[in-house]
Amino acid sequence: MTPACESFVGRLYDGADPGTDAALAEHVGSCLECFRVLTELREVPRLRDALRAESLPDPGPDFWDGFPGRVHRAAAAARAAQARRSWSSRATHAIGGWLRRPLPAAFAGACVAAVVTVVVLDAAKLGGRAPAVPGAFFSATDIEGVAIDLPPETPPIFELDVPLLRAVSSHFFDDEPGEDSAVMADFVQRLKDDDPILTPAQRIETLDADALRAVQRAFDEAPI
Amino acid sequence: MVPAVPEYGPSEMHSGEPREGSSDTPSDGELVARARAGSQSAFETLVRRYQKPVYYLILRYVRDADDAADLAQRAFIRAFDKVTELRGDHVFRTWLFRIAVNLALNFLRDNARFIDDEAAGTGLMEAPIGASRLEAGEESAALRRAVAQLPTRQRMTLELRVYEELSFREIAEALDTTEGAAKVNFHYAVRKLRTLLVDGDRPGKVGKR
Repeated sequence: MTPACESFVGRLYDGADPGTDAALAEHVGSCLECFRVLTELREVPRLRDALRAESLPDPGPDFWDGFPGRVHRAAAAARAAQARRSWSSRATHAIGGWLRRPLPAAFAGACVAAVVTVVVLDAAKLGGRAPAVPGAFFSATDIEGVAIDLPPETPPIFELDVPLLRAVSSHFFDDEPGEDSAVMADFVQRLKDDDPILTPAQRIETLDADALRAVQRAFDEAPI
Repeated sequence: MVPAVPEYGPSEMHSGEPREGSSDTPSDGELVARARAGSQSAFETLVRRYQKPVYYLILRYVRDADDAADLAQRAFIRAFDKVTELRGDHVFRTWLFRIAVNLALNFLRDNARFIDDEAAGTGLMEAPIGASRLEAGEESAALRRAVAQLPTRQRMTLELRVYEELSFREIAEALDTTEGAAKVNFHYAVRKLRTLLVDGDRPGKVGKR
């Protein structure tokens, strides 16, 4: 197809009529390709009329009258649902968007690391002041009820039970487990939950040699 | 017998509700500008103006009144949501038709198996279309079946041209293609329709004249 043909075919598509367009008629009369296009396009009005004659169901006037209102309500509902979704996802989205930016993310990471470091160091310092052994956590009164001086940095966890201590001490020093095992078990129950040596669930019968030695050291070092 | 749709068509759409605007009726562009500014009534006017073309455009694809109503509603909601993105050089009508056609095609894609089963049951997609079937009252239905067999692009071009009387430039906008490509698609669609219809048992006759 020549450029001239393309021009004429374009005019045919746009509705030019060879009956009123002499140049077009002359070209179509001498160009088989364009004549075929014209022939095919002449089918269009008939095809169009036939297609438009198709019966399609009409929903009726009530449908058309109510349609804009339905669209309006559905749009409002969609916007409300979207608003709810966006509210719940806004924080996530903001955090996600923030983390996608490397510089603020690095800054945030540094801040978090600094805070964690301070907390850990502080905890370590506390640990230094208060050794993680049972004896370090006692405040005490003696058998007459007179207060026993403890180092000021020793945090009182529970009151010292002197009979209990005696029983435990005899248990370790006299190496006579048995009659005082219940007392020892009670003592063990009263140790701090996160004690590294013993846990409250442990009973005297279940302590292994290392644990017993650790408790013994704790009593040796206890400020009584 | 379902009634024909005499009240629908581009003539109705164009006569009482001008797209270009007049002294007492706002144009599409004016209504879109007001809708962009948040006017509900402007958008409602646009809905009233285009509800029938959009509904029937979709119905020709999905062939179910309820689905067509639902998709038409979604087309307007989507248009309403995105109206602020409508660029000045876009014509609202072609943009709306594009949304509607995309929704219809997505629906067909998502429900392909179901629709195929239905069509098999009703003979809707029978092929080829013989001219002998083009008896009185069947011509347009046979043509519809022929149109349904066209490649999607050609079908969309043909329908926008025939039913909505869009210019090729508008069709190109609606289908996101070039004006030349729209003309070529239209030409191929017409040629293929002729072939589908003429290849029947009464060659040379295209429907009832």
